[in-house]
Amino acid sequence: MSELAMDLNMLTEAVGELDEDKVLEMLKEFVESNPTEEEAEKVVNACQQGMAIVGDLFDKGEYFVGDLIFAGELLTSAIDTLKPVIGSGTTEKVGSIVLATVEGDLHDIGKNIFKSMAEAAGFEVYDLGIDQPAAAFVEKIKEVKPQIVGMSGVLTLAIDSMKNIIDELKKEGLKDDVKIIIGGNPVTQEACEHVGADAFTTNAAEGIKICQGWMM
Amino acid sequence: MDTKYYKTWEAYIAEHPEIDEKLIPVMAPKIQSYEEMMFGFVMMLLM
Amino acid sequence: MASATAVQDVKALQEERTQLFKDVFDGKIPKRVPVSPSLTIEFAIQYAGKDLAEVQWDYQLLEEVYEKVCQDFVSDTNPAAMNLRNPIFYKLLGARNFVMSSGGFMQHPEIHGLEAEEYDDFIASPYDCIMEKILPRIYTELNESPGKRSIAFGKAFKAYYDELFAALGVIGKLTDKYGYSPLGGIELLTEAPFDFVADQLRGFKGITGDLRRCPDKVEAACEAALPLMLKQGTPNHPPSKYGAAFIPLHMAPYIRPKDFEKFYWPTFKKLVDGLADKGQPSMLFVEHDWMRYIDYLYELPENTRMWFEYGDPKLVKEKLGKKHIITGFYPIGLLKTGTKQQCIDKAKELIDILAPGGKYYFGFDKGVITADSVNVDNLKAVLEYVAENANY
Repeated sequence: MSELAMDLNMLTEAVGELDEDKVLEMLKEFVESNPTEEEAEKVVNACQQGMAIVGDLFDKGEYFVGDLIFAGELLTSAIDTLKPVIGSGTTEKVGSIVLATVEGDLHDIGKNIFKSMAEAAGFEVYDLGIDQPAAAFVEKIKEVKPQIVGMSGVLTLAIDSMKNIIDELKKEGLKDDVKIIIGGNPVTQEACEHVGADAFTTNAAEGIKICQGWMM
Repeated sequence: MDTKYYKTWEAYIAEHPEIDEKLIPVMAPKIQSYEEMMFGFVMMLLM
Repeated sequence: MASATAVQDVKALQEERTQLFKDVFDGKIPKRVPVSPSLTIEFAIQYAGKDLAEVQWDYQLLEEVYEKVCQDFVSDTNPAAMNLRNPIFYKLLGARNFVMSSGGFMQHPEIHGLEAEEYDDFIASPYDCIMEKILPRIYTELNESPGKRSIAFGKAFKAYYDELFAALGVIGKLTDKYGYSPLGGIELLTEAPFDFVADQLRGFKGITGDLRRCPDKVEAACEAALPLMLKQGTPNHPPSKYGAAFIPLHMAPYIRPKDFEKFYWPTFKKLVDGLADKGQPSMLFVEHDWMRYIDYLYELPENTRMWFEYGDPKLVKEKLGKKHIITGFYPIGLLKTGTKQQCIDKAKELIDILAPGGKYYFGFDKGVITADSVNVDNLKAVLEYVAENANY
């Protein structure tokens, strides 16, 4: 195949518009055309650019949290559709993230949005789940040596929990090896400084941008 | 409400013609109050 | 006898406080701004220095916990909050929707009880569908043989009402002992039909997909849920204009305005109107920021109570203040980070905006869920300040 069997701009646009039917139909056709891995990567890239549009529209107030959740889902099905043609070993991970909702908090919607966007952006994500104590973070960080640690929480008490976890990482001498990003309803600049994180966000798409910035 | 899991008193009494009429004033509020408590409980389970 | 005088004083205090709320709800200017903080049961337990999980399992310990809050915090309504999420019946049913976290908080993981393919069943008979499909999916003990299922139901039903009545007994006793207004709280809980369909039936994730994939079903499901929500918000006794059905609003700020207009608002409006037609006022928790829907809120029946989380208090007062009753807005985050003076100044600022003309009572932007999420001295100072200074 000499020419890509799809219009990448159109795909990016369809992802940005969260047009599920169109996106999945385009991807199915693409997969059936027996593309090379290189071509598949261009398509993944186009999807990622579509996600950036989603993030921008969220920033502008044209998209809402519900749209971000749907976007995460759309991305997951897009990547699933593309799996047969994405090379297994060839796609280099851009970095790795240990992620969890912190101890005392069981909310996982925000964490899951971030996770699917991070995976779509090429990160390896180790999701520990919800209600996770410092020990679980320490253990996983030692095991997989990620570049980034993500902590999520919705309740106001999550802030104290984040602080405990980061203090523990310092004690274990792990803090300087990673960048820490916190996310969720209660996080603010103040909270970020208080807990000793490197960045905070209430917008998953923005969070991805921050992580990508760290990997450059 | 169209359901087999909740009965108004009217529906209940129609199914129970054997009930002595003079007991109706004392029975009705009892039976109804348990019906309502169950409804309230079930709804609470989904709120 | 001194104690008889004390009882007299408490009675007088209770009448005075009750009058404040009657005036607010009647649209008259009260003697001063009433105070109704939302101190949760978790806050009360932690403040009393007790174990969070233990007290939630044992209501015998509740009285002591509540009493300490009553003694230490100024309020016109009873600050002892009802425990809506009593762990006992959830545990007995094997609940997946409310589970206790490691810290002892009852929390709500993202689950769903209704599959997208089952919308038609729900639309045809919502209550049958709840009993036959939804509850067994959410409560593992109900996903059993009919015999086991009825035993589980029996235990949980009894536990729910035993605990509810016991707690109401304790709260009622303290209300009289400390002379709180019995008005100004909530008596029933119901939900906007869209929230009911979204929260536990389809889940946050499910509903956002449904809005795009099967919008007609979502709309029909909201209509089907409406009669249940109306019934749930109606008391079994004749409604009073001082009572209230509490409707915590959830999904609206998270969906697109065009979805709000089409799916959220119509059945929600019918719910509040329908309750008002029966004489039952509604008390809304206006979660997150509703400023883009402020003109919609105006359309609700007069004297609907609205507890705001975020947004612009000035705009709310200007647009809604003559028609509806407003509370909330005070950012509890400030109680942790601010100085005492900053905290008091914030209360003053909000009162200056919201109190003129009445139809306002003082409250925080959300429930105070832990003792360490606020500086308790700031909390006390703010409540005292309002109770002593916000006179008309």
